Amino acid sequence: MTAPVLEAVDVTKHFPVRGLIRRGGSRVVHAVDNVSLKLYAGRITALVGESGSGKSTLARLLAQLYPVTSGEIRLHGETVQATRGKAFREHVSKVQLILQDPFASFNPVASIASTLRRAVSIHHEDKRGPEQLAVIDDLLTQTNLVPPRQFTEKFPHELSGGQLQRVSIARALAASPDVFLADEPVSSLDVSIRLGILNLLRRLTEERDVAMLYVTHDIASARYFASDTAVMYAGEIVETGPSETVTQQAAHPYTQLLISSAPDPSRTDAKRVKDIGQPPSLISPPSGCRFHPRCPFALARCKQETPPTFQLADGHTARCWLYADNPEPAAPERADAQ
Amino acid sequence: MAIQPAVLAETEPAEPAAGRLWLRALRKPLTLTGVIITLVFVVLAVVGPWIAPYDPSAVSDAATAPPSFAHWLGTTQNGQDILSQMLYGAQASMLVGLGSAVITTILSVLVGVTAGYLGGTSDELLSLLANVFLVLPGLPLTIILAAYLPHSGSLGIILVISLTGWAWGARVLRAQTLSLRKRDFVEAARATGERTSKIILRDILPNQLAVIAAAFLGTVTAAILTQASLAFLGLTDVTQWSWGTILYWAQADSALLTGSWWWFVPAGLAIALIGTALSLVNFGIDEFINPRLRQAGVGTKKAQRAQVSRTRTKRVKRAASRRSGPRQPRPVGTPFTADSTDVILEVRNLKVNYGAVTAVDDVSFTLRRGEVLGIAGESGSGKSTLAYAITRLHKPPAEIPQGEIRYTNADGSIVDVLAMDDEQLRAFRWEELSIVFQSAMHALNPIMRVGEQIEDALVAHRPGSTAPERAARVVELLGIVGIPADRANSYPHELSGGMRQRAMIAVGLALDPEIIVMDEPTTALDVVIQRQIIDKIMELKDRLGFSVVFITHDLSLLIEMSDTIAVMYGGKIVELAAAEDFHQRPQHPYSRGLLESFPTLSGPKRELSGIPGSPPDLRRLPSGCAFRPRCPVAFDACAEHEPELYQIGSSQAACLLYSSDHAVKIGETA
Repeated sequence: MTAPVLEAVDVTKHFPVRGLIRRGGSRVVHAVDNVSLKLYAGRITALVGESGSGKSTLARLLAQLYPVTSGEIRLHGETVQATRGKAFREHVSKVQLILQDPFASFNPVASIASTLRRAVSIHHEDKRGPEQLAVIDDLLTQTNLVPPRQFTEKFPHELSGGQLQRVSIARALAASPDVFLADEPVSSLDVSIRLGILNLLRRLTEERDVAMLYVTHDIASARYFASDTAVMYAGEIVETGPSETVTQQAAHPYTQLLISSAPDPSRTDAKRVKDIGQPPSLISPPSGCRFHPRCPFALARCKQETPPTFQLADGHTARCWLYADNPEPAAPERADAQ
Repeated sequence: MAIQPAVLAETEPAEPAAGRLWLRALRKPLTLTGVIITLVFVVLAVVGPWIAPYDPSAVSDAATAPPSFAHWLGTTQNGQDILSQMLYGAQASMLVGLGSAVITTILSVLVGVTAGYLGGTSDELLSLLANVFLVLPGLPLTIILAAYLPHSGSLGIILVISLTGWAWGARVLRAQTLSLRKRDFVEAARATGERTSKIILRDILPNQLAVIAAAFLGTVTAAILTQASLAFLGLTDVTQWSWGTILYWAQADSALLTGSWWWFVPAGLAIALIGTALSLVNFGIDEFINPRLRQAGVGTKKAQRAQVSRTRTKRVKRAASRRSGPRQPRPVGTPFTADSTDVILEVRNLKVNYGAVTAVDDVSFTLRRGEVLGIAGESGSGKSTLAYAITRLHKPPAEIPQGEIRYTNADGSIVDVLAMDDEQLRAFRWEELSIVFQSAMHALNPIMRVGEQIEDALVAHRPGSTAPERAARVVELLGIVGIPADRANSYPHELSGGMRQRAMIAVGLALDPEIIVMDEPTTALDVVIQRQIIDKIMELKDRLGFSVVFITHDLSLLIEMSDTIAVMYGGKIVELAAAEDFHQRPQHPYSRGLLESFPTLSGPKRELSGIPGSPPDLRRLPSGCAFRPRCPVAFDACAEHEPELYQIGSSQAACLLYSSDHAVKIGETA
């Protein structure tokens, strides 16, 4: 496979907890811990997880909206550390973020034309007046908002959610980026129009040969839309692999729980993974495997040792002790015998 | 997945260009009045010295003369012309007012927005500065400073007012900036690569204009008043004419005792008038700035009207009287079957209007005892409006011009929910029918413990119960929904989203209702938590025997849990069928499209076709069938006839394909 366009290498992000009394030094929220992820040109990678799993934080770290606590973000193989100033603007011209709520991501007092004109003037500095308008028309046409002039003079509240999300894709397109980071791009939209937006994103990925990160909580949509899927739980990536493999032969117990919880009337088997708990605190995450308090298959070593990443098949990995060659650690008596 | 060309072009009247919109703000008579009065004062202030008939300080023989042709507003004790004094005074008063407002606003915007946007140390330093100025006692300081600067004229007073006044505005703007900075559109602008200065100028400030303008106009009024007070107290240069100075001389020369009303009334009136005018402008300003409010026609007058427009005859016996007797025990444990005829709620031809817009149009359905009725629909389909209308919790301007909602009591008597008076309605809600809303965080009171909120419902509806009884019931209810009893003392923010939603369900169950209406109760939750809640609801339903109206956009979830499914589109029910039939044989083209929009997890990947276009705008519904513009099988007649619900086997679908004139069934051809 070719080299990744954008890459997170052992990225960690801790947010300090604000409080009036700081007890026992500084407490932090472990939003993202030691996560590595690669995005390839022309491919869609899904990042699946429930709220608070750190998936949106990871997207924002890749966009350099926050600085990483440790680890590296690499664009075309080069480490970037650019959360402000010129270097930041340089980075975002290559990596564009699309936000979840189209109604909130537009300035309510600015017309669509003026919002897009700003993006165009940042990324096409040489264009002026009528040329700018031509670029805006082209962007709107590319996102299937035709005829474009019917949308430019509107204010955000006059458009539907689907139309606004297309405008926000157009705004991201203005930069002609190499990477799109789509943070739940359809979850606040109506069911019947989600497919149209996802198809548009897929078309852009293929036509422009860009890398796409598709952040979602809907693992079924990852199966249909992304070639690869990474599952996040409590700030860590617990399973990665081709989407079809991850959804059909889920390896990690958390992925299995996620899949069996998703509503799916065409499911025939009533087999359901029993959930026995609540999402963990990210301020003091559980020791060992972070999923162990909820895991129906938890072993003794899961409480103590953090599982490494196990290769299950070609490109399919899981961080779970069940896949170690010897799931239970050597028993004490055997250790004695040796 | 086939790539669908999106049909997005809409035909609608062109909006007036943005530049002309401010004219619309002026069309409001009150705003227009305010603007005209303010403009008159500004013009008078500018040209006053030229059009004044006399020198305001010139002494004449006509001492203390009432208004006459020579002196329109009369004269002072020294024979000075009051009209001329007023005109000269307007200049000084308006200059102080506008000057202080400009400087105050600039200071507060600079400090407030910078502190709010930059945050960190600069925020702390600037906030400290603002706080120090905020605790300075304004009026005494003004008086003292003015006393030290008596001959600096208006400029001194402007400086004094600005220095003592900017801190309040800075605090407000800082708080606003802090909240705006977290909004998505600011983050989106950052992610686009916009410079900080531009984000402040183009994203933050325009959204604060209403506050800034209000503060500006407020400061003008306050400054004019302060100037008048200082001058009246003699703390300014009393030889420089202003409205306050006129009052000072009037008071000094005992105008009140001599009854020379013309001496002080004009100055007082002028101050009152400009204050009123600025307030009127202030009201109009938000409408002018906010593009959402610019659209005229969001009628507030209609809001005064009654919720149910038709006056109804009380043909049903009082529901409240039944409550006085012992509660009829509910037949628990009779599981719902598809052929049940035990109707508990019947909705007939219900219509709900928001002004001229019909959100729910001629909807009829029945809910049977123990049944789970799932209502599916996209935004604007009217599903939530329907939920609110069933419980009569709809708020003006929503009103019900037509329809019946008939509830069958446990003893078999039938009441019309729309005919209930407030007292009956209160007994009906929560005791017979309760609601669980979408956002538990907003529906729960953040400053009350969860247990107290459940107890509140008991206190209101079971006045005879004792405190220990209620406490026991609270623990019982929490146990039913799976919340540990010790969490009763938690505040809502201390519970997780799933826990809060369960607490809401506990409140809904508190009075053993017969029907629970759930409006997207799990939409904001993760799938794993959603599964826990749904399993809990189904278990409780089987155990306690209530009926459920479950509203959501998630069709997969609905098919899994409902007995019967109603699909809404454009305010109407377009398909009504048993859940299993619906899943196997969806009849309406919209239902088919919806089912083909959902990615599936089990089984082979299938083609997702989706539905082109967007859900309809209820203000501009297409003629005939509302789904026609998006329908893959639409034909000419669809534009002319509104389809009614046709019976197809055990299902009903509102589609002309099934009318007797169009015998072809797509179910057979497909």
